[in-house]
Amino acid sequence: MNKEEKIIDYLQGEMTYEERSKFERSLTSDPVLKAELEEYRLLFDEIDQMEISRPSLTLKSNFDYMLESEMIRQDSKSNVMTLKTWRSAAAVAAILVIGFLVGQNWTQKSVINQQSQALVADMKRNMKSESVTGRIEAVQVSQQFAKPENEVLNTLIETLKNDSSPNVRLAAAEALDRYAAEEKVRTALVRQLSTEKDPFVLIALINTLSEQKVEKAIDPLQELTTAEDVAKFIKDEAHLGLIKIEKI
Amino acid sequence: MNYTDEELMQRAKAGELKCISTLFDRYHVRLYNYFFQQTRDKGQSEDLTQNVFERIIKYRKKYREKKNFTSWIYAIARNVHMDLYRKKRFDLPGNDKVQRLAEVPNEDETIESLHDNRLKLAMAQLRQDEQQILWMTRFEKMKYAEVAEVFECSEGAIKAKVHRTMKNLKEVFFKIIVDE
Repeated sequence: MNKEEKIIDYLQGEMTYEERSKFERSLTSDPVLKAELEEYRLLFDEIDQMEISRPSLTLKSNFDYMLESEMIRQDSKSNVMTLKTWRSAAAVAAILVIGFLVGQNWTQKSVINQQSQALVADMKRNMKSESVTGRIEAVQVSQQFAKPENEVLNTLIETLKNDSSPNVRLAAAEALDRYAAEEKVRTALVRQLSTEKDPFVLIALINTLSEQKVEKAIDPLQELTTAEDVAKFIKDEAHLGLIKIEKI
Repeated sequence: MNYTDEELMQRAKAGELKCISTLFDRYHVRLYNYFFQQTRDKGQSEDLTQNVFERIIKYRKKYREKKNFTSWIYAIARNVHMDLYRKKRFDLPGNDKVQRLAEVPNEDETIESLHDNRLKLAMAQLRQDEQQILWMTRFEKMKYAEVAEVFECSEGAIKAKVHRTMKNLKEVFFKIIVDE
């Protein structure tokens, strides 16, 4: 650690008692260090005295309204929960009584499967829409699936890779974020990182891959940090992403 | 009762939502200034502050016991800020800020406000993550270890970033004074 860094840690209060004492002793014999410390102290004082702005009163009233709404929602939810619990108990009792109708379960499952297939078909059809909004809505249909369906993932990956609109690709990247634990999704996101040109899709990809600590993303992220045609804020985000993955 | 931030958040998590109101009183001005320092936009800074508390209410059950509350709220603040720029698709803050600061007419400029502006001008030239780190370590007096929790990286990485940030800031700040 050089002298300047020691000064910063000293003024930040990040030194142990022993380090502080040693540093203060060295000040008496090193006038250059002392002068440098004074310059930093001046800067730190300026920062500490910087004027603080006050937000408008609307912020407080909006917050109060938001909190009260949530409190009402919480109360009504707990009432509904009680009702739900009672209903569940009644349902269990009913099932016990009419146990011989267990086979009905199979019918229900089959209905759910049919609904799910209809949703997938809907999504794939709307993906072909010429309207960007239509395609974004199709991507958002994927949110209705509780677990990743193979066909849904393939459609989202295909959209991320090939859609001409960056807005649709961004929606696909955000939708895939939910399924980022899946290996095929990770591979697709890493590949896209090397080819994607839109800054906001890139940011979404970097965020997902770094949150998931996908090591395969390290090389393309490093390339982003040094690429000449990449905006500075993306380089910064790529650098932060590397820090998250590598824990440096 | 004077509960700590962590105790209040634990109570809120357990269902005492009113506790979030005390946390709002403690943090909203600080968060507003954290955003304002980066955006120089009052309305946007208020919206972002509001979004942070919206997420705290929404994700209160996810708060982990003993997690440092200041680190947690600033991690949310960072995400809220980044999401805004991803959604609205405009440039990251800071790029036109120096110019905007320089353009602001200041008819009754006192010595203090002159110094304040020099500092703001210098701070505006820092990178976004540097501005955030500066805010957390100097204004919030957060320890390197706490900031590391926000950025999800090692304490050593934050220490190195603080050193770089302060060196950059000092260089720019004194250059502005010399140029004047």
